[in-house]
Amino acid sequence: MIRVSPGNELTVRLTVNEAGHTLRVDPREPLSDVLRHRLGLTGTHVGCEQGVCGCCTILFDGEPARACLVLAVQADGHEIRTVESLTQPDGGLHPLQEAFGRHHALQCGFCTPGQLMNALALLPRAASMSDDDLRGAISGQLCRCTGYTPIVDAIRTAAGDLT
Amino acid sequence: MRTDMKPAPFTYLRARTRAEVDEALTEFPDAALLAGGQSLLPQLNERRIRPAALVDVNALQDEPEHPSWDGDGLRIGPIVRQAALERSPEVARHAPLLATALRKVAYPAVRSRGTLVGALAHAHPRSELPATFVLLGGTVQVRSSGGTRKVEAGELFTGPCRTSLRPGEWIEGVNIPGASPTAGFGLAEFSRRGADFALCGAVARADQGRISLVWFGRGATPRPHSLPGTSHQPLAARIAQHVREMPHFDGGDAAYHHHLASSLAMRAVRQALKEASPSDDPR
Repeated sequence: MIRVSPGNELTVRLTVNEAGHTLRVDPREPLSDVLRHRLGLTGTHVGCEQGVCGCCTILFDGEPARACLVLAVQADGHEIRTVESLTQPDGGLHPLQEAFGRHHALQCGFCTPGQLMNALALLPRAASMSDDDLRGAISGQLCRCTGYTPIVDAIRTAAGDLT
Repeated sequence: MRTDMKPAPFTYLRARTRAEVDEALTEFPDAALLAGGQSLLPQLNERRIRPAALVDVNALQDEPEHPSWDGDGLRIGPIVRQAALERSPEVARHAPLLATALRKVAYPAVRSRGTLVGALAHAHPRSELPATFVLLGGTVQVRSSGGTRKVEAGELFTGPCRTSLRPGEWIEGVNIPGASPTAGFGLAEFSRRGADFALCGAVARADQGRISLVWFGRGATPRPHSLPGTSHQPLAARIAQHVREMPHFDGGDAAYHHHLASSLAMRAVRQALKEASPSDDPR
């Protein structure tokens, strides 16, 4: 059994956007803080830190998850993907980002990293989802600017359903 | 580390085996168990709870990630995620109501981490999962360093976020009996926003003239109600009688909550009757 007393740290190895990292972390440190403050990946936004707003959504072993509701020690041995990974090798935007731009699916942009990572996991099945199901699947991502309709349209477009 | 919305310090224990979990809970009987963490971490981050120790079960070795069917019931281990249950053909075949209920739990980014075992141990009174578990007549396998015991669904929940687990005990697995092939099931709920807990909801089963019903968000804890299938009394009147027996547990407009509980139960029962074998219509 691994045991870490209060105030002590544990070495964790995690893969973030295909790069391996070995870090010493306090067991009470959320993954969102480690991504932002230790790895400098500030694309993952932190809004509420209690799982309500969805801004810090990342992919954990390919599945969407709240980075504020995962302790960094839980990511030991796992693969994390953040919004930074969407950038193409030539610096261009991912088709999902293009679609968000085209449909005005963002205004202030604060929720966008979480929206994108949540939507990325939906893309393979988004074309066959009903509007209700698709809206249900983004219901954990709060956006105060757009009214959501352009976000649904952008996800549909990126899934190849609309043009 | 900034600590404005971080958990208070705790001893972190990462168990590799179920016996190590027992051992950790013997030393720290009031430790919090970390499975999916989707209800636990908000409470830790807001410091509503400050456990001395956190026992992480996510790295248990050789634990199944999927449910299994043993010919009699579904067996669901402590780190099977809700998303895995939602996609499982065994769950769809043998416990279709559980599959329906899981799709109503929050949203995909919560279900990818959350576990059924954790949701039952948390016993949130507005959650679909304890009510579904009670309706389906499941059992949990409880263990501690002192041994194991089985707890029936009806004996597990003792109040809002309270269970009959004793200090040092934890749930190592869930067993859900296979649904009768003639049964039909229904679920109806109302929430202000899709992602929120329901204000109220009901799950129902109709099978060969017998109707059973369990509310969530009504009463302190989920309880099974049987509606006699052959009664001449109209269904709505029989439901209303049961609603009165289940007082609303946390205030608000009593008449409104009575209306919600009655109409949602009616919807769930109608859906169950519609899905049950066609001869099965006691109305």
